[in-house]
Amino acid sequence: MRWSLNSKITAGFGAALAILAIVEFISYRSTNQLVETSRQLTHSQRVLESLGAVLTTMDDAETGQRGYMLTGKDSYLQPYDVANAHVSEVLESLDKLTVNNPAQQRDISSLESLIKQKQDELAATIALRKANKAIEADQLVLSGKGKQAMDDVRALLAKMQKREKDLMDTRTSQWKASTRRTTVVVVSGVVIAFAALLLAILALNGETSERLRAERALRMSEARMRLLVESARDYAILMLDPKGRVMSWSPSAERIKGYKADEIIGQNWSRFFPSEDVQAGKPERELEKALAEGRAEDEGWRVRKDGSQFWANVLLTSVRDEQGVLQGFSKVTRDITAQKQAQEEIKKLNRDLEARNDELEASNKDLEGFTYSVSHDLRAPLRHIDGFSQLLANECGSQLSEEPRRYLTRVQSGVKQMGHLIDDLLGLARVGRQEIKLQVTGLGSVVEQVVHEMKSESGERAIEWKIASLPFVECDPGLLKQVFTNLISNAVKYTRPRDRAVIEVGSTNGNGPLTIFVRDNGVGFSMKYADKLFGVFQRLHRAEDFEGTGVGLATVQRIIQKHGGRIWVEAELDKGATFYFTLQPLESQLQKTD
Amino acid sequence: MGPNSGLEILLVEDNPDDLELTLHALRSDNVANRIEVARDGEEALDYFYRRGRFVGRPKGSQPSLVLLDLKLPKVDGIEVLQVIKNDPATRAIPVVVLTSSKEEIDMVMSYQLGVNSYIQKPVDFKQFRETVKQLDLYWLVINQPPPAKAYGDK
Repeated sequence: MRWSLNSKITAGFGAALAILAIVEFISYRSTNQLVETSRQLTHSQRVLESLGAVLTTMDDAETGQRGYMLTGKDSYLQPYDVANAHVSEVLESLDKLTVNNPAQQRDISSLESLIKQKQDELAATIALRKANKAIEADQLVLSGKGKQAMDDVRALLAKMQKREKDLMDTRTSQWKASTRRTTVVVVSGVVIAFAALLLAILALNGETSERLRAERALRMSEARMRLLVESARDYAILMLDPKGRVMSWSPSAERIKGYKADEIIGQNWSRFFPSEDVQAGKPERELEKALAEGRAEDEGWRVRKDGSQFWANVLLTSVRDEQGVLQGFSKVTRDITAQKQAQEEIKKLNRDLEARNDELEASNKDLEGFTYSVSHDLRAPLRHIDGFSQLLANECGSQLSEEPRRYLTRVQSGVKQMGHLIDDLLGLARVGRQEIKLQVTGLGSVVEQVVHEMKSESGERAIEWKIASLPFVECDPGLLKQVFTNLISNAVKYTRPRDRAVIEVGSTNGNGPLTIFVRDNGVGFSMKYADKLFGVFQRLHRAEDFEGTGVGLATVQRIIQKHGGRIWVEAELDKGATFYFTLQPLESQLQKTD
Repeated sequence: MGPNSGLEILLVEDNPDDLELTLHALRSDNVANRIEVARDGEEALDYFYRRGRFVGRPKGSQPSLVLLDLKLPKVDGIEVLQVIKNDPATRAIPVVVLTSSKEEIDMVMSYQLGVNSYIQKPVDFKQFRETVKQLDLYWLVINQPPPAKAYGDK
């Protein structure tokens, strides 16, 4: 069986106490014995003294008798008389002292008779001496009867003295042995008790230091916990009792909610809720939920001491002891007003953005509807004008003079111009709203197609084509074809006055983006108008010199911008023009996707 | 080709100017013996289903070609296309959209509904006449028309 520390300590102390009690008892008994032995020894001493007194008395009596015998003077009888008178008293006291010792009592009887004999002899001799019968007296003395009696008395007394001394010796040695035993018992008892006490104390000490260690660990843990709770800046961490009253408070709780610890401890936590929540029973519901599910999380408005509100995230967790008994609730509150505001802000921005997006979509729709109508309805009247003017020319052309026929031609060329304008504007609008569809495209083949079409259109003209090998890029091939068609047809158009037109297409690829150029040796233009060139309806040449709508370069710029590039022009009046535009080279795009 | 060969064009066109110019172009070709005109989508459907003023149109005959404008009052061209291309009785009739625009949405819708051809009317009347001439030539002369069995009987 394993003994608990406590029972060990109790047992240790108990054993020590029991042993000490036994030792105490033995000591007490030993002391009593000592007193008894001492009394007995004193008694024996008195017996010895009494025996001595008997002998002395008898000696005195004999001494008086002898003096009287020698001198015959009565004064010498005085010791005899005193002794004679005294002897019975002495014997009586001896008898009383030895009343419990049968051996001595027996000898006392013998002694009495011996003393009586001696006394008789003494009395007889003295009586003879008094009667002046000295001779008879001497004879009596000389008979040795008196001496014999006295010797017997002496021997008996010696015997009795020896007996008493033996008794004393026996008692003394018994007492010594007993004392030795007692000493051994007491010493060993004390040693054992001391050992038991020592063990108990050690155990107690162990237990105490263990408890101290546990207490220290607990204190440390509590201190760490407090530090944690108090240093959590943005969290109010506190404890509620099972009824929802505040049990603990922290600096962060004070910072967030405004109450000081002594103002709030013991108060019900419902005061953290807005009154409508309290009326709706929300605090109780939260506690019930935390009780039932272990935890309850809530987000909502909470009230500070000063009545102001903040948006809080609150986590309530039930706290139970080892036996599962509810101790209360831990409550962690976070002020997320800023977060909430940011969310609201984001929501609002999103709503705005959506609204703007809707607007944009609506205006896009409008634009689409507009271009759709333009595409259908604006072109129809042109067709009619052209159709009927041609019918007119066909049917009455022969009747008309030169001038009205020329008018009809002008009507038709106006119509054609208008048709181009509509087509180009629709093209520009389409580029604006169209999503570009990127694919890896060899610019060389695009240019080749365009040049092929141009060659068939430019007919007999002498044009020297200098087409360098062009790279592959990721672009919308349809739109890039529009770009090259525009730029190359411009080059063809503006080199018309040249006997020998030179049109060059190439690329430069330095450190920067890929640059494509289209160069011609045409009529060029003054660079002071260069910034106007890409505007819609902007033209630098008269319509009768060079036809055009003024929409093409605007469309080209739009397309290049949609590809993330830029376009510019270098020109000189009468020398020619070079259009440059940039595109992302394929390698960098590939690297980007890597 | 005789007058009863059944070669007939249905021209669906609302605009009187376009109508006149188109008829002019068609007649100058002398290909079709009969051109029927519907002035909106509803009339076009009346024609196909022999309703309204087309109640008396003889059964068992269908036009050899339909020239369909898209922007039409009441029922537009796309809706007409949707009805006739979803009906087994009319599905086989060749339909050519002849319209002002070449907006992508129009072209996509038309082709998805099963149009046989899509032509943008050129602004230049000369070109227009040439286009119509080639159209007639192709659909009424070169192309083999659908046999009667291609029309599910109504």
